[in-house]
Amino acid sequence: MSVPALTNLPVRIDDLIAAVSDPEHGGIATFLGTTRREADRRAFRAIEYSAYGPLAQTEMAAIAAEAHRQFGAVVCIQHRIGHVAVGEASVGIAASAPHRAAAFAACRYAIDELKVRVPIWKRAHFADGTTAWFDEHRTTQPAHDSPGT
Amino acid sequence: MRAYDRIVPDPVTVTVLVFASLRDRLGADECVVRAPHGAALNGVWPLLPEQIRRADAPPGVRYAVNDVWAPAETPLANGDRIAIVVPVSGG
Repeated sequence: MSVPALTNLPVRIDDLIAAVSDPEHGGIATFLGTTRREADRRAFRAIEYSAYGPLAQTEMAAIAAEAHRQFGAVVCIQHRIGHVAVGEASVGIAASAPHRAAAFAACRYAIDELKVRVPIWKRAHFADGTTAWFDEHRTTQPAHDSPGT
Repeated sequence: MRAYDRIVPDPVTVTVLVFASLRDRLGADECVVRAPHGAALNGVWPLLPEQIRRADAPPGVRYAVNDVWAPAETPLANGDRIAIVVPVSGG
């Protein structure tokens, strides 16, 4: 089945699993990134995600293709756009492979690459009504905790 | 045409897409910029509207041209749709 890379609907992990299921594969690894209630000692109401749509979709497809080349895995990635309430999934990944090690590795590869490459941004909506974008340059030691994955 | 008219080529006009906090600063998704002939992607920042360029370009900015990643040294072409991609924070 076809799963859109970007969606303003809840992430349905069953859809991602269905997209990568393969009778030749013996393992499916999944990952859901969910929004946390608090980061940097500040409470959130929600996280708002926005994307550079065309390039985000291209980059997510490229990551899936790289995971296939490196691990022999079939990978499906979906990211939420718009407001995501605390506790809901902002990103979902399913990776299937002939064996579990490759499935886990591909899933890990996909989320790690997504977080540094895919043009998607989050804006925190704090409990006190203020907002802040997380789009600053980060060094190896983040200046602030992120409320997402 | 006078001889010296040939010395300075026409400027190019590009559309610049911005995202996240830059979009808030601009108050719009995009703007149109006229750049001198030969300018590159990394020369666009000083040409942006004042409300964006009042701060330095954030470290780690990447660029895209017509929805494809492009090196910062890529020359601008008339009609390009360029994107200034600030550090990402998805996930």
